Amino acid sequence: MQTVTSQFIADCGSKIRKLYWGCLISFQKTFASGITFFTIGTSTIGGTDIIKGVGDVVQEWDKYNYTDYTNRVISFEYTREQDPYLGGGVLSMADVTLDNHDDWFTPNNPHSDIRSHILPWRPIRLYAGFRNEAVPVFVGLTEKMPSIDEKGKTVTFHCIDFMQKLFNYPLDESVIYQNQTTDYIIGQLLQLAGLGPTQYILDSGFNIVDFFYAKKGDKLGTYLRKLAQAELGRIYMDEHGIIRFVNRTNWTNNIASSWHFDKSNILDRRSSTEDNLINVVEVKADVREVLANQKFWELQTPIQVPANSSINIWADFSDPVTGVDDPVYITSATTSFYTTNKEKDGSGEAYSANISLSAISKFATSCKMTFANDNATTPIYITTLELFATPAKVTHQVYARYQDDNSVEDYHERPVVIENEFIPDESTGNSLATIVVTDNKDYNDYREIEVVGAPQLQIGDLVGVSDENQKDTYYITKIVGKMVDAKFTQVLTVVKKTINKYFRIGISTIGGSDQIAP
Amino acid sequence: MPDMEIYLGGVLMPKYLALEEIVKPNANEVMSLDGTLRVDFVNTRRGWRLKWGLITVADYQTIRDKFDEQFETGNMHWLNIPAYNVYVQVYMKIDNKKIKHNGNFVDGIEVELYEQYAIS
Repeated sequence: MQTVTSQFIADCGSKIRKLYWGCLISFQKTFASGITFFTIGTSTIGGTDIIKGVGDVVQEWDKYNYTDYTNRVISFEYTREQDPYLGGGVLSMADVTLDNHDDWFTPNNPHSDIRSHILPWRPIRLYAGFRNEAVPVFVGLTEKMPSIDEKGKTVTFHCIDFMQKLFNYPLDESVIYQNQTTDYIIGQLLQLAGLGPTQYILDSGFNIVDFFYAKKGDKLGTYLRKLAQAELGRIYMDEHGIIRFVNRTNWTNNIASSWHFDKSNILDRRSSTEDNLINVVEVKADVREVLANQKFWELQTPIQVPANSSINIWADFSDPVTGVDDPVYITSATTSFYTTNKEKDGSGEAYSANISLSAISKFATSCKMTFANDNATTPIYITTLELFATPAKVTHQVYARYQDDNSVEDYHERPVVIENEFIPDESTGNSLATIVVTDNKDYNDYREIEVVGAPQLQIGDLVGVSDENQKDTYYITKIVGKMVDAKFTQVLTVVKKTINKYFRIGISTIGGSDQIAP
Repeated sequence: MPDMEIYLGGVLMPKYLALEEIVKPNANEVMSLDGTLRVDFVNTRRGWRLKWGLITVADYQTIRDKFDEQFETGNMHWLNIPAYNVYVQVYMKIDNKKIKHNGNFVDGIEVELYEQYAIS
């Protein structure tokens, strides 16, 4: 639950509640130069105040100059969600409808100062609360051009959270990490996308990835999602715009119930056919392994180095490598080598003293070599060039399958296939499959309840839910908040779920409550 | 006691029968499963209802002009009720169904003046 004042809590539970909200948009996408923080209703519209994140964390999206469009809001709705069963990354979304009586938000309206800035990917922040206190509920971007209702004179923006921007970030270079934890690799990848270490909060990862390889040009999102999923963790952006990675057991830190729902504040409840039962899990992974130093690349045809000149030779590898030996002339070589000759077919004089490797740059999947010829008159061929390297090849496929027979008998087969190259071995695969089945083989009481809205609630919060038959605590897995028609309601998806904590060397304590991993 | 003067858009309104204050919360009732009533509200809005009896066509035209003007200019009129210290911009509505034309006189005119901004 977000931290709020006791007055906020009291107001939230009142029978008559005075709603309060905020909507800030930066159509111009200009950055503020000052570092004073924006206060709804106080700061100057178009001024230099910035939106503050949590604590000292200031994100790139905090630094835009936002304009307060609160008095234009007709309604907004937002959705936050996480997958507590298989992990990964889920984006938040929002839809905001604004008054457009004067066509202010209509692109190319000559009377609108922001006409040329009504474009996709404009930063937006939404707040909800009571009296004069509001908590953030969404930080993101408008996804597309607005949908304009000419008859009703309204405009609706569909928005996605800033995580989408990170997920779409293309890697500038190929990267390799060996024997690192999930959180370390996620941190490194976020830094490649331009974030500083203070701009994200990552739980300790359970998984140690033997070999992580990401190709240049690939989108960051694929790797972030898979890294999180490989240990059933979740990566997401919170209501303040902070990127978080939470491991599988993070929710067990929420011991106390954040809010209680009963028939006096539940407006509607729906049964669902979804039960998230999982009793058969197959784990598949193509695992890369760093192999011993070996011949890995060779020049296909001789290349001439002109007299008193130099040439570049690029070696493109079929698999990533963790190291490449510098080539030396064959007579003194033990691994990588090259040969030279005046003739292309190697039938002439060697001229080996005139050719030297003047520079070498090594990358994950390529290597650039510069050969220089210091002979003033004679062009010389590099007739052979072989590189020795330590390649990381897909050496084997992990396959693990676990089934709970009793559950299959009771509920029929409910299979899930997890394909993820960051599951390092059969042992981890078996453990993962068994954990998923053990945690989800029995019916998890799953409810969808429409409630009197409490904007401070977050995904993973423990809430009490009681009805005619029972009273128990549930985890929130999805929130759909609606500020519509002068009322604030939420549709919560909640699940009663036991999250087992398994023993981990270096983290768990002997005699503690953690179970021995399956 | 003389009738209170009411100015709309700077023009003194003809003598009227009644002035009523309309206070309306911008709120919505939320009913829970067990029937508990909760109310979420945003603010309170205020308006004024003015009713006239039989008035001359000229007086009616004064009122009617103010109604039409707001659409021609795109601006809300200023409502001034000095006795109540009210000086606010309002949106004017006329209930046309009640108006009866009778030669040189007009009867049953009723207008509602909604203040532009909420009062709380």
